[in-house]
Amino acid sequence: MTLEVKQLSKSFGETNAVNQLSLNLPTGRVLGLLGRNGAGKTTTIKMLLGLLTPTSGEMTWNGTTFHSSKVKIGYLPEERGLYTKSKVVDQLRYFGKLEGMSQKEVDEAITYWLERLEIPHYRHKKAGELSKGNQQKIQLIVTLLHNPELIILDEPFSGLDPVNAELMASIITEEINKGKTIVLSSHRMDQVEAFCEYVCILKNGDVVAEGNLNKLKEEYGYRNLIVEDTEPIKSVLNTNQIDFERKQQGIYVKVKTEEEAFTILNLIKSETGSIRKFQLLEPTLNDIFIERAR
Amino acid sequence: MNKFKTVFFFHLREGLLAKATLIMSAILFVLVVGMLGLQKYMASSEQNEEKDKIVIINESTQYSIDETVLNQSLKTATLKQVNSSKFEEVKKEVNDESKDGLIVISEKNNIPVINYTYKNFANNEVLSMISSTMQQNYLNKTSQDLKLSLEAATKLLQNVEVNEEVLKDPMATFGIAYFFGFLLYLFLIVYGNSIATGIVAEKSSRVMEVLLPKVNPVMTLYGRVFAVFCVAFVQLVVIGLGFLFAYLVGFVNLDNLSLFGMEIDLDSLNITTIIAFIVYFLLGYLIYGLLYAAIGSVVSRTEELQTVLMPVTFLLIGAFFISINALVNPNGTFVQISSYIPFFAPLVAFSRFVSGEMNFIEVSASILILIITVFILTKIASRIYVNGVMYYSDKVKWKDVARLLKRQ
Repeated sequence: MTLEVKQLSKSFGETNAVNQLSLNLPTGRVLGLLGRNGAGKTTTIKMLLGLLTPTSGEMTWNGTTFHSSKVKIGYLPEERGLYTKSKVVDQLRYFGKLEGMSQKEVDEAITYWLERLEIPHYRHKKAGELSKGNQQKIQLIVTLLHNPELIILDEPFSGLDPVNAELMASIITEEINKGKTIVLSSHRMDQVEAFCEYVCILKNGDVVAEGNLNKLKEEYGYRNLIVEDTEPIKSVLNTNQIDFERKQQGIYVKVKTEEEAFTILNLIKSETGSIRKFQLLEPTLNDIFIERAR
Repeated sequence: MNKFKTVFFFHLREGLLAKATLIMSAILFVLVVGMLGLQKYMASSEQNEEKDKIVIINESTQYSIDETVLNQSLKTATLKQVNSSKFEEVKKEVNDESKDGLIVISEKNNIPVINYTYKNFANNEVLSMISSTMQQNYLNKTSQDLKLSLEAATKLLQNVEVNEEVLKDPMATFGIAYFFGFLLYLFLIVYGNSIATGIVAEKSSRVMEVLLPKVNPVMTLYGRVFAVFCVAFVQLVVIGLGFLFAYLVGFVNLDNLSLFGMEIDLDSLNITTIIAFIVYFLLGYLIYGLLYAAIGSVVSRTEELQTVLMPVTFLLIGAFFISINALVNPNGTFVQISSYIPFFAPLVAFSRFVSGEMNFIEVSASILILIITVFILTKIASRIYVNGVMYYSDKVKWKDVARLLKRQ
């Protein structure tokens, strides 16, 4: 049970928007699709949705050719895709029925989701009259209304205030717990890290990192040793020509192994006499992203 | 099929409940009832209108005129004879519009001369009556002078009898053809635009991205085109209801209908005309609807739509003018050819048909050409549409459209 993408490429004239993208996502897992602006995230998503035809490559879903019409997909676009002049309930019904839901099913689902997102009073409002955040909520209902197997979220947190972002996060968690397969594209590394077991980092259309996030972190090769930001420690590091970075929490030194960390700690201890605080941290997704996607 | 139904009913509902539709229905209804009411009012006010006051001054010594006899038969004016000394005074009154005209009868070489002074509009009834009276007087006097018997004089002046018989009067069908032709033109342009605008709105609001994974684009194309057709049809019914309402309240005199001063002869409105209207309306609508849809699908921004639609709009305006020409001259070479050119045929062939200038074979040929065109356009429009709806660009280039058409 997997979504498998093999050697997927898309070029527009001379430019390669996506180049030889391959990835593997077991069902019930979450994939973080990362990359800077213009890296090819949205192009990849549009190919999954069947909105763009790949130049080459193939996509399979549970072993058979993946086609958007054969898999129930819920798609949250980056920009709002709502009929601004239509009532919320009318367009939700329309989108639900296009997914084959009956009038009764669709009405129940609409009521449930409007309540769940705390906006039942917008039922009969026109979508164009709602604020950006509330339109985003309606868009999320369009995405989840028909109980899709595969959920594709393109920048789900954009335009949401902290309270609504929290609500969105809790709904994504719910869907993960229901066993949905999710592809999530975002710039916010902390959120992707919170949800995603798998990541795929794109840079100018090329995959620069792909796979299980924990494995990636192991393969990343660096950990962060954090020590106190004091003058004596800085001079020890300087005299021993050890690169470091000063941040809010202290001095960050990139180390490859635990041994290397202990060597540095011993050095500091022998030259300054004491160490009051230290930390050895796993690399963050942010570290990996900045290094690979820069 | 279920999805087609869903798309169709969504757009139908949105179309019927849209403010623009409701306002247009109300305007059409009021316009039809108002126009018919106004006509009725004008017709009745003409009957009650005051008679023109016309003053006669007779300067002639040999010819006399009796206004009391003339007044008995005049319907639109009353005559009053005054002394020639009042000439200037009456002329001033005519200028002030307190009198409607001044007729001075004089003579030149013994022949009566009539001078008619009026402000804006002549009263032709008075003029013809006085001139024929004076003609008679002159005849009498001359025959007396020449000692001719009156009988001989009358015989000499006997008019040649002229009898006209029009076998087919183009004016009889002109009104009907013009009315339906205009309706066809108006609806194609209004609803064609509505199709294109709807598609561009779906595109620019990115609804299309949400929609297309759910439903085949060809279904969204046809669902919309047919839904808008039904909205247009409902508007037609509203016009019909307006007419019915006006008829029920007595605004309509079925024997004397007119549109912008053109007489509408209901005798030429028969069931074949209505069927022809519906057939040509449907085919014309499909042709232009598909064109408008295809073009709407390649445009990304509403602001740009009108510029890109220009060629289609010109085609439609061209078709309308040729069809007007066809009303007057249904057998002109250009008009005849145009009734087989797909983009002109719906309007031109229809107006030639109503004028009775197309036989069964010709009508069938034009309809067949239209049906074939609809099929070809279906292929072209769906292909442009399917590729066009995901094509975003700041400015539409025809080169790109050709590329979209080639793409599978």
